[in-house]
Amino acid sequence: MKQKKIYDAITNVPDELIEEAEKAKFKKTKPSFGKWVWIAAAATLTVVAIAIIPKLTNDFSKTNVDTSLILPEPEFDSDNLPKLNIEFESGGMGFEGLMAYDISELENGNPWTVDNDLTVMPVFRTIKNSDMSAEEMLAKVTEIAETLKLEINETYTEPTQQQIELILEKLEAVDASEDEILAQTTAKNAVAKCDGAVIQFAPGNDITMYLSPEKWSSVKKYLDKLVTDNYQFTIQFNETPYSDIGISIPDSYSFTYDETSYEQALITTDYLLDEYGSFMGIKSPGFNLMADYNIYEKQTRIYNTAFENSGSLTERILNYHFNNINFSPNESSQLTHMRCNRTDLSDLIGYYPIITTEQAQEQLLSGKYITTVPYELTGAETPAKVELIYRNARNEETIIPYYRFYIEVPEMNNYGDLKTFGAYYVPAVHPDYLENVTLWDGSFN
Amino acid sequence: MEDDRIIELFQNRNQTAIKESDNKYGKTLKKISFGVLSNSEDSNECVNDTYLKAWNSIPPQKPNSLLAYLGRIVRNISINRWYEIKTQKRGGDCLLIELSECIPSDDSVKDSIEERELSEVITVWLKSLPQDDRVLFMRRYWFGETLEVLANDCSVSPNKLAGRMFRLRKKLKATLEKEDISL
Repeated sequence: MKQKKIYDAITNVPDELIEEAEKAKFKKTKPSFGKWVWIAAAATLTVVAIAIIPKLTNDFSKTNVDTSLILPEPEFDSDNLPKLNIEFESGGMGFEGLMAYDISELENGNPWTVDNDLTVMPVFRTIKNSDMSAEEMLAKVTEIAETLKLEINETYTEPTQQQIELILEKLEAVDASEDEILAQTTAKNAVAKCDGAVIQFAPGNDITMYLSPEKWSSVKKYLDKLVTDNYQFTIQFNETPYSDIGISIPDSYSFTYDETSYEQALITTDYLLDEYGSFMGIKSPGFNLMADYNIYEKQTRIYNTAFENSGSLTERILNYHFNNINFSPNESSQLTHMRCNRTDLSDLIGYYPIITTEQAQEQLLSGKYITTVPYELTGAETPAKVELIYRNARNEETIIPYYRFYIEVPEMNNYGDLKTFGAYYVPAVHPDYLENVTLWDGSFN
Repeated sequence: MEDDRIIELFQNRNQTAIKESDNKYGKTLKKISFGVLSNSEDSNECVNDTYLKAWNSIPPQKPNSLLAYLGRIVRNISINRWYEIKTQKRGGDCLLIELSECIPSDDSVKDSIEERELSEVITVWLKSLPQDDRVLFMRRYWFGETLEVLANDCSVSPNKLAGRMFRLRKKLKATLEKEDISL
């Protein structure tokens, strides 16, 4: 049907046109900001992951695993620090806000506290995923399976070589461009099928493992090797990809998204770390057990995450953001997945002087902030909470510290007594080391 | 919650990813599906199927734009559902009827164009439009927004906006004919 062909073609127009259309809608319907603020990213603080680099880690050994970050001594060389080009990656539409009856419910385990003596913080370049050939990925997945002492029955890429040949034939028949052919015929990941296990490897040193309970028992003792080799990985406790069946944990532990208190989540995550996450080598665990409320006024836990909370405050902050393990339940309170998150921080640009919380708040209230919240600050607000965080938006060039202020947005308090706290960001790096100051015209929201 | 954090939840196999996706994009996805199906119950089913498909594809997929990713899935599911319903002779007309006005006349000798190539031509055409027209076209034919809503946002009458949309469809048709495109 010809109309369907046009419909499908419109479906596949580039992301940028879709986002532009969505943003433009908000521009018409929401109040604009009209203030000068620094463009920097408001989007995502991710606690996401990718592996940490040898430069910043210990020389690990199999018998004495230490996966915590060891940073070089801070050396502040003000003459040789490049200015940072502040970016803005929106991460899509919507605004960043959390709902709670009281700000104290939004505890997230960040080791940073207001009373600290930090004067410099490290800034890193984002490590982009490198292109890998199908052969390189197959070699990697084979190596990983061998590290885990798994017997491989079959390896292949996704799409498979046979599928790639069919796609190639089709594209050549329509004189597709070289770029298009390359994009469509590039293997996205490699798979090793083993007895009781499926191992999937993707560029970015990212592994997904689907393991039967029996295989988990035999494989777990080799996982520390993957950690020290700077992989990040997800383990599903079932050998069938995307299955929601997991491993049962003792009834005495409460492990649900909706009906587990902070205290129960703490006990459960501590147990899971001991029982299933010991390969991470975490000696003094800290926990991110953040939860907020949905519009049905039900509390939902977002993270059951543990990280190494020893070392300097800077190391603890980096571990919190970039080097951690998260556990996920299914609706039957079984452990279905765990993810070892390790962001690649090998490319240290340098230690940059940071402003104080008070200075950041002055900037915030004078209108120098970045936010996705569609309401402008008047300057008379009192922040409910502030914390120093790292944003790790994948498409930004640098990983930079920010102060994140939580401010109640009365216009959005539409659900009973729940309050909405919007996130407003001020770069923590001293303004002398920033560039790309530009007009924030409110067009994002 | 920001997109990267939601994608992170998908990667962590944390079912909160579905809830957060629904909190953030549920209404938009429903609107897209409803624009195709004109039926609330069917649209809800399509949106639920969209989350399931996203759950099964992330990882290994790592979408750059979660909105675009989920939106494409729900468009595909909805149009397939529309065909099923039409086969059962219980569905009404949808956006496809309007889009039929963009179909170039069929006297070309050129072989039928591939969908990907057609998408590229439409993309180039969209980028050549003034931003307001481009956004209008996308909001009507990608997001499935009604003429009434669009007219309200543009502060014009629905009739006036219908005329503007008609001219846009004619422009697209003229572009496709100029490119000697046969569907």
